[in-house]
Formats: sequence, structure tokens, C-alpha cells
Amino acid sequence: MKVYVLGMDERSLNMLRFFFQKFCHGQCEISNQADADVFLINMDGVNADKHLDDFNKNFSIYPLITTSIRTLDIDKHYFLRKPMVADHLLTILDEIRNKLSNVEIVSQPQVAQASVNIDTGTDTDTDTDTDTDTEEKEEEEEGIDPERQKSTGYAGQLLNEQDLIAFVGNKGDVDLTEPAQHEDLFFDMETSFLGIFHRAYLKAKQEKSIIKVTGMWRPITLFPNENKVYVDLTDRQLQAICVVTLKKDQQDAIKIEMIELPVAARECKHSNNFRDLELFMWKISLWTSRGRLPKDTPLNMLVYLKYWPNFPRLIVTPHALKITAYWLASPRTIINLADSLAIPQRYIFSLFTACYISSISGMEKRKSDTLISSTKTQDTNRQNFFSRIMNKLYSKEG
Amino acid sequence: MARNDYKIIFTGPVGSGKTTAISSISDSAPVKTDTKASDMTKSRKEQTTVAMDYGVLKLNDAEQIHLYGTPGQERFDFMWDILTSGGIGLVLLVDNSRENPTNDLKFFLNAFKSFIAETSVVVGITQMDKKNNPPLDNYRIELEKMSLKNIPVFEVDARDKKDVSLLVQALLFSLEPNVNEI
Repeated sequence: MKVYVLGMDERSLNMLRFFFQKFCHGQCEISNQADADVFLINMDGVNADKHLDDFNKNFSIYPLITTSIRTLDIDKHYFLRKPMVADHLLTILDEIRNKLSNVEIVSQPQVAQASVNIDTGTDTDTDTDTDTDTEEKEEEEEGIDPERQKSTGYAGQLLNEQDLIAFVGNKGDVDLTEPAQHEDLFFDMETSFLGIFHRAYLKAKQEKSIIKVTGMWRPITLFPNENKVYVDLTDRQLQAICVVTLKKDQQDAIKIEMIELPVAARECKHSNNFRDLELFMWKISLWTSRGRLPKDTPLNMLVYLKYWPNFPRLIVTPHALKITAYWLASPRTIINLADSLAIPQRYIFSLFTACYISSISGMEKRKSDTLISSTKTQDTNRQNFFSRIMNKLYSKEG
Repeated sequence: MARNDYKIIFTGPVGSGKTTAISSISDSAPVKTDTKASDMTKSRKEQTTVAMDYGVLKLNDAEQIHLYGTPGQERFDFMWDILTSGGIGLVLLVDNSRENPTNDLKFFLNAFKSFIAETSVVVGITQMDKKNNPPLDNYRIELEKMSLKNIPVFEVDARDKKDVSLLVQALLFSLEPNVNEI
């Protein structure tokens, strides 16, 4: 995991870097702010309170670890007592990782007991990893952020296991006819970044005007006519934002407003920050859904798709084409489709969510009165033949 | 052992990427019948296909899929019927940077009307990175007007085998949603 450290001088940072490498077995590393998964504040530094205030105002969507030689009780953050013990740090990072990716702990790597005294050094302007100028220089040197670069190119690549879990989760199937099993089936749009962004998207489409979203993170500006979104956040940061449940005061702080083109042109200066709006919506839908459905999605209403999603420019989740073909062939309830296809339900739920957010899917008002039977009785010779072609095409993609 | 041979047809106007698309997924180097353009096609590309392109997907010792690309020039349209005979389906590529690409779409859909009615079609829009107007929605609307519903319309780069692969996969799923993915 990538850790952005605040409140340590260069010497302390070097010690921490050594500690991460030597005792944490490469499971964490110090990073700049743009790439961070988690923030760490040295609460013994002279500007600790300022850093904490700054974090709470601007970066509270991130997990935060505070560390000190004193016992601190800072509500809602993780605390790591000095001298740092590798096991304690790794346990905290595991908790954070699980929260981010919704992955259950399978096994805990064996880590040797180790401790290190990190100098409670004072803040100085020489903090290399926390220096904004340094970050900008690094970006210039490294060129365009590959995460952002990816957003405009082909995105339908085969997903590796880590990406797969981030996009479609790893929840098992449930009995959809049994409400008692629905507890983890849904997520709440109202308390998620996705819900806020969806509201902004609908407003932008309806008004055909530029919309700016401000509040908890860096401003995000939607250009509906150009199908672009201006966002100064990496995919890693966006993914972290998508898994956070927003509290009432955080929701209240968010503003969705129309802005004029000259204002947008002045504010949206870096061409690398423009992304394809369609792909952006698709990704944040998947990161938020992770195999779940938006709250109150009726399971027994007929779902239809208006058209094929533009898959070569989107994330192609497992069985996405098959699910799409079924829903385009005839409207079906989510329950019926899950029954008909012998695939994990989470793939259906993820694709449904992405289509719903992108306004590709709709629901018929009437409830389904008859279940559409599975198409398994069709020409099996042709099915098998097409399967062989499909298999051949998959092998060429690899 | 008798070999089962099948066909997928790639069509579209001059310069839409048919030859490139076939090359992207063919198992063997495709047979090209390109020649130096000498007529109005010269403004679109230096080389143009005057007979047909050919590639192949070998599934096993007994089965292979022939990939045929039609010549883009209309004066060769007499060949289209011959090529489509016995085909699984049609991949129509449209160059978005041409002057009126939705007219191209309509022209080729009409030209292959009976073949599409018997099988199915997918539409790949190329060159959208050069010119993104008309958007995909315009093509969807034209298809609806021609009573062609639920046709996959994708933005593709004919050089990218994943893009071309997704087009062909969508064609197969359109024909048979219940394909088992191995």
C-alpha cells in the first residue's frame, strides 16, 4: 500500500522508508499524495495539528493513521503507537486494504517482530515527499500519469484478479427470493460519491451545461456536450473515494453548480485531466457497486437495455457481453436473469449498476408476470461451435 | 477427416479498416489484393483492395473460420453476394472521418439487407479519434429507422485485436445469447 506521510523531516522519512522495506516486506511504501492509498501523520511534529486540520478539510475521504509516542484518541482514525511495531502497522494496513477492496483477510503474512524509533522530528520545508513542488516536478519528469492515460484508450482488457475484485467484488450468490439474505445485496447511492456524481451528470445532461462539483475533494467539472469530465484525481484516488460512505455533514458540504464556459476554461487548464465521461461513469459505477445493486432496485421488475454499451472503450467485466445479449433479446427481471445464467450474480449486478448509471438500462413499470424460460433448449450445436470461436478469440486477446 | 469451413464477412467503404481488422485477428498473414489506387479512392488511401482480403481463424484440425473482406469500391459489388453465401454474419466498418458516414452506413446495410436478415450485423466505427462527430448515438438512430434493433455499435480501432475481437464476439452473442464462454 502507498502511504503519504505528513509531519516528518527528511531524516525521519528515510528511517521510515527503511522500516517499511526491511520489516514490512514490501507491503507498504512511501508515496506522494497523488498516488496514496492512506495518509499517515506524525502527531509529535510541531505542525501536527495543522496537518490534521488540513487532512480533515481536504482529504478526509482517505484512511488516516496517526502515530505518536503518546496515547492519542482521535476518533475515527487509526492509531499506531511509537515505537512502531511492524505487526501493528501491517494489521492496520490490512484493515484498510480490506475496507478499500472489500476483501476478507485470507491469510496474514508472517512478519518478524520488529520495532523502530522514528525520530519525532519537527516539520521543515525540506520534507521531500510532502512538498507540492516536488510532486509537480515528479509528474513532469514521469510524463503523463499512466492511470489517466489509460482512461482514454482501450479499456476492455482482461482484468487481473486485483482489478476484478475492485470492479465486481467477491461476494457469493444469495437466494434472491429470500429478503433475509438481501442485507449485503445493495449499496446506498445517497451516501456515495457515485450518487452525487450521478445527480451532477443528470443535471448536466438535462441542462446541457457545464456542471462543477465541489466539496470534499478537488473540483470535478462535467462537460456533457463534449462527453468529457475534468478531474484532477488518479484512478487510485477515485477508487478510494468510491468505497467511502459519506456522512451527513460531508454530503451537505458538496455543491453541484452550473458554471459558464469562460470560468471552466480558466479552471480546467491541464489537458491530461480531461477524461472520457462515459468511461469515467462506468468505472465509478463498478468501483462503488463491487457486485452490489443500488438500494431499492426492484428485483422483480423487467429490466431492458436500450443499446449495447460501447464495450471496446469501457471496462468489460466477466460475461458482460452475454448478459447484455440476454437483456437485449428480451426484458427480464434480475431474478430471472440470475436464474437463467449459470454465472455469479455479482457480474450481473455490477453490469446492471453501470448500465443504470449510464442511462443505458430502464425498467418496465409493470412487474413481470411470467418468467422467461432459459434459452438452453436452442441449437446446442451452434452454441458449441460459437463457444469454440469465442475461446479462440479470447486466446488471441491474452 | 472432412473439414467444416465457415465465413465471417467484413465490409465497409474504402479506408474503413477492413484489411487491417482482418489482419488483427487472422491466424496467418492475410492474403491481400491491394493495389495502388488510381481513381477517387486515391484521396482516401494509397493502396486499396480490388478483389478481396482473406484471413483465417483456425479452431482445430476440423474447423476454421474464413474472414473475408469485401472490396470497398462499389464497382465490385457484384462480388458481395458470392462472398456472403454461407456466411455466419457481417462486420460493417464505417470510417467516421468521411464526409457523410451515416450515408455509408445506410448504403452498406441496404446492400447486404438480405444477408443481414438471415444472419446478423455488428457495426464498428473507426477513426473516431480523428473525428468524433457524428457520435455513436446517430448510428443507433439510423439503425432504428431501418428497423434494425439491438445491433451492437462500437467505437473501434481496426489495428487493435481486442477491439476487433469484441466486435466479432458481439456478433456471435447477437446471434446466440446462450453461447457458453469457456
